[in-house]
Formats: sequence, structure tokens, C-alpha cells
Amino acid sequence: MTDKSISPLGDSAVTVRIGDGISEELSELVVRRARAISQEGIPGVLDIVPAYGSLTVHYDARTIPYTDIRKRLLAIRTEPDSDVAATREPVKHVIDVRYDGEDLDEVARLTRLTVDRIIEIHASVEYRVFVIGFVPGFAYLGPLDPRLVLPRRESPRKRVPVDAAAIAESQTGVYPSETPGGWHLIGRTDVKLFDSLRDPPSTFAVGDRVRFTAAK
Amino acid sequence: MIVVRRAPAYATVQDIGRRGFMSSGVPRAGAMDRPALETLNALLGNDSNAGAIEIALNGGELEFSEETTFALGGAKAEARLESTPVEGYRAYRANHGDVLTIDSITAGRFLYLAIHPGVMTPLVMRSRSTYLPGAFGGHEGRRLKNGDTLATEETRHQRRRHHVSDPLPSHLRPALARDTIRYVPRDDVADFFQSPWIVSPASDRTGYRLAGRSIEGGASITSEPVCPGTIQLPPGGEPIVLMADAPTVGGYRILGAVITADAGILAQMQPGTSVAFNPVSVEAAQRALLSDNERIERIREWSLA
Repeated sequence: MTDKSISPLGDSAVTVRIGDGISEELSELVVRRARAISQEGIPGVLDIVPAYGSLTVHYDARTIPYTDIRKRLLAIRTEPDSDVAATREPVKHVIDVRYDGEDLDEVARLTRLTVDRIIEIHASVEYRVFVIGFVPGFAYLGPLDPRLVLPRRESPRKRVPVDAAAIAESQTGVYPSETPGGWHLIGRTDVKLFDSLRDPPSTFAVGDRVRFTAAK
Repeated sequence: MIVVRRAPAYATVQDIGRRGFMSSGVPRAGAMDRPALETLNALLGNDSNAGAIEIALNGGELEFSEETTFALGGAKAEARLESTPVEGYRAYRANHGDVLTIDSITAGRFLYLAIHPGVMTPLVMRSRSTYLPGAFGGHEGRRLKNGDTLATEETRHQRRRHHVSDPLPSHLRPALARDTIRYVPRDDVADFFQSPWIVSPASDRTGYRLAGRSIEGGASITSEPVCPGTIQLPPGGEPIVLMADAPTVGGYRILGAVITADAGILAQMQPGTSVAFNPVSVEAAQRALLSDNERIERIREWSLA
């Protein structure tokens, strides 16, 4: 890791940049680095949040000052193929979806595919969890088959129903709570992907694999 | 127990926030003005993370159904316990059946009602903070409404004999206003800090929009982790400062982050307030944080004296 790859995000967080863009390889490096940092057990670390090409370590500056946490982070090395013991091994999930989303017909019109074909394509891929955010438990899954790639809806919905499965650009995901949203709704699931009373509350973790199946 | 007789338009239970669940996309939440909450908790001899009621927009009426020691702080308010005027940052002992009436908030935005030893709502992900968009935490994940009852933590000891404490000396109180807010820059955009901004009416617990002008360089980016205090610059050129309910990742260019010691002061700014930003080093930001922490320690010594 180089000096330039670490920068403060205010006085209580530090961002480690691994690379730019969106790819499974880069995401894997981010996850490995996040695990390696977690394994270090640095005092004062409160949260480690992986994203596409970077991760952020949130810490208590009363326990560890920036100069010290920066040194500790710089000293952590992970080789691309090293097998760091994971705090949580990636999990493969299979999620049943009822493909009856409000926007299915519009997606069919825009992609010039039949609804059956859309379902077949969406359910044929094992997706990677790239990022969790936006709202608690919302996982950005990808990459989506290029044939299904559409821009976000021109006018976002004020309320997307909870548990709606949706697509936008090269991503897919499930809304775990009722929220505004601009993605195209293609179905619904009965799986509760976020539960504030569970630990961890989110079913998915970054680095997990997710496959959707058409519920009968 | 506290009985909500007339609920303020906005009142939620908050502590200093939720840690350890950001990788599940769970925001920190917690008090918008953390130094104010920490001050009150220290004044009352509470744990620094004890839950309190955060009130905004207007006043209300709360009844204490048992002897309770409480204090108000953060925003300035016109308030009375029965007919006794209640000042900020001063501990009062309410008797069984006494009603605390908050008539109005007169300066600032977020008023805190802290009680000894704390508001008892169930811990959700190790915190009592209400996160309204997710409908969890605090009292049933929502704003308080008329008729709600809040359990107060079992009193551990009754060492206060006086009906009213001395007022907290002003040098031990957190600042309520400041012309400039300090931030740690990440991306050098000189236009951002060269002249002041106006706090936009589009400001809530998730983020404060800055208005009055716009600057070049706004952009959407591949999502990156963000936190309360993060300053984003969307394509429109009007920055957003993320606040307590900040999401865990964001897709706009990041200019830096407001320092922890000043985040509460920004939170107290009403829409229309003029605010300038001043870049400082991360080391200076952490010195300010430690110095505020020492202030809290001095309050604990003061209240024991």
C-alpha cells in the first residue's frame, strides 16, 4: 500500500483506496483488505465499510489518533491470492423471486425481450454483493447481464414496496425497506433481507454470492 | 416514567449513536448535537451514552410520573416545570405528577431533554437511537406522540438532595453558534471555502443542503463510504453536508468532512443561517475533539463537587 492510497475522511474515519472502477477482481481485493484490517484488531476501530474500490475504517480518535491508525493500515499487506482467515466466509444465497414486478412490461418494451426471457436471464447469473448501503441492508448486486442494462427510471418512485426486486444500469438488488427508488421493479421476494433485531442485521455481506430463482 | 401529554412536532429518543453495523448499511444515527447530549449526561452523572429525548420544531408537554432529575440543553428554549422557569444546562428535580412545558425553541434547532439516569427504551443493535427512515430504535422506531409512556432507567442512587443544581458555568457548555465550521478537506476545491453558504430549508437529520450559490466540479462517482460530516458535491454544484442519519455509502464527489467538534454547531443552524467553512488538518480536528472530551470530564468533576 502506498501513502497516497490512505486519506482521512474527517477526524473519525480513514479511507483506503485500492483501485478505481467496478470489477469483481477489485471488489475481491477490497474484501480481502477489509478482512485483513479486521483481523488486526486495531484498538478504536468501530466499523469497516467496504465499497467498490475503497474501504473506510471508522474509528474513535480518542483511542487512536490518525497518525497511528494510518501507520497501522499502511503496515497491513495482503497479497492478491493470500488466504486471510475471514471473519465471515462469503456465503452463497438462493433467493426465491415472484417475477411480477410493476415495471416488467416496460422493461420488456425497453429491452425488446419477452418477460419470460427477462426472468430467465435475471435468474441465470450468480451475482456478487459489491456494496451494502443506500438504506440498511440494501445490497448492490452485479454484474447484470448486458441485455438487461437500462438507465434508472426518469422519475424515481416516492415509495418502492418493501422486498421489491429491481434492476438499474448493470446492477440488481432487493429493497429491504419501503423507500424512494429509481430502479425498475421486476419482482418480489418473501425473504427478509434486513432485520434490525438480528445480528448481523443484513442477510448479505459484501463478497457474498446471490442467485435468484423464479418462485413457482 | 415520562408520559407524553402533548408531543412536539418532532421528538425522538437518541443516544450518541449506533456503532458496529455500518457494514450492514446501518447509519450511525444518534443525537444531531452530540456535544449537547454528552454535556447533559455528564451534568446528570449519566453514562455518556445514556438515551435522551431530542426535540425540534416546537414545544410540548411531558409529565413525570415519579421523582425525576432532568436537564435541558442544546437549543435554547422557553420552558417551565409547573410554574418554575427552567434554564438550560441546569439539573431540576421534578416531583411525581409534575409537568414540564416547553413553550418554544428560541435559538438553535435541536433541544435535548436528558433525565437521570437515562431514557430506557430497548437497545436495537446496541443503541437507543431512533432511525426514522428504517423505523427502528428509540421508542418503536418512530416520533413520540401523545399518550406515549417512556420508561426511565431504574434509579441507581439518589445522591441529589437539591431541588435545582447550580447552572453549568458557561465555559463548560458546548457552543451553540459559530461563524465558521471547520472541516478536514479531502479534495481541494477552493471555491467551497472562499465565501459563505446559506443553510437550505432542504435540511434534515440525513443531510444539510447548502445554498445561495453553486460551484463547479460537482460529480456523481462510484459509491464510496461516507459518514456524518461528509461534505458531498453533487453535479448541481450545491454541496450537502451529511448529518447523523447519513447513509453508509454515497455516490457524489467528496470534498471532505466537518470536524466532530463542530458538527453539533452546524446541526443547530436554522435554514437561512449563513455559514462559512474553514479547512483544518486532521491533527487539528482531533485536538479539538480531545479538548471537547476534556470539557466533558471537567463537567463530571464539577457536578460531583
